[in-house]
Amino acid sequence: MVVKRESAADVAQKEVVGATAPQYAVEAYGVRKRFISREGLPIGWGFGDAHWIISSLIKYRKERQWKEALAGVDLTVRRGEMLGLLGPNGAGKTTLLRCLATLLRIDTGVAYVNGYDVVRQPDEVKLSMNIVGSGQWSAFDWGLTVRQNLHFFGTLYGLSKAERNERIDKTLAWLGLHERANDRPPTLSAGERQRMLLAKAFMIRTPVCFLDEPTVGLDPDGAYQVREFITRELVGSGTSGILTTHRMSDAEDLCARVAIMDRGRIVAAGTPRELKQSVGERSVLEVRAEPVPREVVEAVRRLSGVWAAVTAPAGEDGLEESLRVHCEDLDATPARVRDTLAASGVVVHSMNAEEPSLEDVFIAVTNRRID
Amino acid sequence: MTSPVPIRPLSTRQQLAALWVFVKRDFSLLTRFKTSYVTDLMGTVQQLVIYAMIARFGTSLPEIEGIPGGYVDFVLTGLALNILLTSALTGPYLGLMESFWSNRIEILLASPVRLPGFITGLSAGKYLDALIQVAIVLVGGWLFFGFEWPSGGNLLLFLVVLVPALVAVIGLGLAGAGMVYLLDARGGQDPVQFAVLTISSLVAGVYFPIQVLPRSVQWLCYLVPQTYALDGMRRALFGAESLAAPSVIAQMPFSPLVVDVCVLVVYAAVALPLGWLLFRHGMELARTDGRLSRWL
Repeated sequence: MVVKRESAADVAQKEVVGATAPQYAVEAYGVRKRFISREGLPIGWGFGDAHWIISSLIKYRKERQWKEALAGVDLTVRRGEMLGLLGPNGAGKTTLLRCLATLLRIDTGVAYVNGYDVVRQPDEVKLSMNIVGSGQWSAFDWGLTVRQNLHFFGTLYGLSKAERNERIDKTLAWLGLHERANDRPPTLSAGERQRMLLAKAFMIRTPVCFLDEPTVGLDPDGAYQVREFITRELVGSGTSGILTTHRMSDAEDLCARVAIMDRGRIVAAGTPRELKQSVGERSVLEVRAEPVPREVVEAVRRLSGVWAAVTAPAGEDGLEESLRVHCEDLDATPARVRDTLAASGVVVHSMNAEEPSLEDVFIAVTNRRID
Repeated sequence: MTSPVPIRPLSTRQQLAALWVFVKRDFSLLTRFKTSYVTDLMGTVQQLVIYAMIARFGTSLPEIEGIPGGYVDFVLTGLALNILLTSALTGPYLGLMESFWSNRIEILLASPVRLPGFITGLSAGKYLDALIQVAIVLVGGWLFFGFEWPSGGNLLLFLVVLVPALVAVIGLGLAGAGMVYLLDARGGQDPVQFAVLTISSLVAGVYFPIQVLPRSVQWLCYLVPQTYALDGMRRALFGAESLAAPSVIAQMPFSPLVVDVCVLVVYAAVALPLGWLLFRHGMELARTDGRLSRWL
């Protein structure tokens, strides 16, 4: 398994090369971030309303448990490149973006956005980037219209009134939102709200743009419209940035390069083709069956020639599961898998050989599925 | 090292434009629900009527004989100035809390507006609202309750007292906003605001002269800047040298107005940097432990 990671050493090597080194829009080297996951008083509760006073007084003596959200992230994004950051929920994607956007202080490591240090030069970083989060539409003022909200943000970014008017009109027209310009955000559909966020990103036009799960929660039509806009107006105009998602199709369609993140680390990075080639020696078997008990999955994993086997629900009724099996070959393994499932009473609906996908890269690295 | 794509820092004019857009936004949101806004203002009218009526039924105190209009002028100026000072005190905390609970805090902090601009912007709309309430108290008092506009006062002196008073109170307000993350005071009030408002509303001379209080509680009034601010501003407005000063101030070898101004200047010089440090430290702490927009 070839995992393409850009370590601090690789980067240092590139810096030695000097003039030929690529220019980066985003750089992160050894970035770590941990949070307190649970606070517990070393004494029992029962103080009623006074508990907060006691809690405040002994705050710094409490035992704390820490959760490592970023465990040494090394990542670079070249100028003009939209990097797809793929990973399951809780992998640390949003935390990384929040660190890069100066909303979280990194514990150790260094990170640069547009060449500015996120810790030492936060004001320059904020002028260089724009972040669009999936739930951020609620941060728009509900009492103001779409146009008024965009005027507000345009002013914060130093746009003159004439610039704001021109860009708002143009962006809303591109996004098909011009008819909703004088409506308030709560009256918009989920897709329209997401496009409103993108309108803010495109109107402001910073050198770097962070898109956090831009298609999450959207129906297929809404997701298509948002993807179209990102491809045409952001990626197409050479905006650099990071797009986080746990949808493989988004990463493949929108990004020339993809990094896969798990448990606070970048576990693989490269173009989608390179990544798929990295699991090239594995064959992939997609089995659709009745729900497969955990011990049966374990039994499949133990079969000779099987490298990984993971399940995920398939279909909305919960009556079918998808078992993805990575194996040495497709000659003998399918029969062994079918026999093992049949011996456990699991009814197999279909069994097909498939081309490796980005999810298979993730499975190969982590032995888990991405969702 | 990567060389950055040139960026254009915000000019002073652009930063002022950003502040103004905060004020416009806040006022637009404040007045969006007209009935609620009018109902809110009715609270101010209610206060005006209550204290003006008390004045009408006769409140003749020797401590305020120096004010030409008597108790009605004393209490209505107290009410108006207290509204102004309270909004300066509570503005930073309320603005920060509003942006926290509405999920706006991160989108604003990720914008190029710097931290001083951020907190000033979040508070500024409240000052505009306070000015409207002040106008209701003074104009309403003049039209219906015999409030006499100060004629022998000195507007410049009034500003000399007002400016350090506002700076001192804003400093305390920033300290209060810092408590949001330093002491997890995200519920509706912070301890600094609570302590200062409790003392100032009872013993700072808003509704009655400090001298009518028992001596055992009078000392509390010297802790808050509102005492010096109210005393100094009334002296400046009414030219009331005969106005009785709080006992400690009266014992000083200088004019009470000079004492008020000096104390306020010192208070402002200490409270503003200290409040700013506490606020900035609170925000840094939240950035470190990830509580900026989350309840942890």
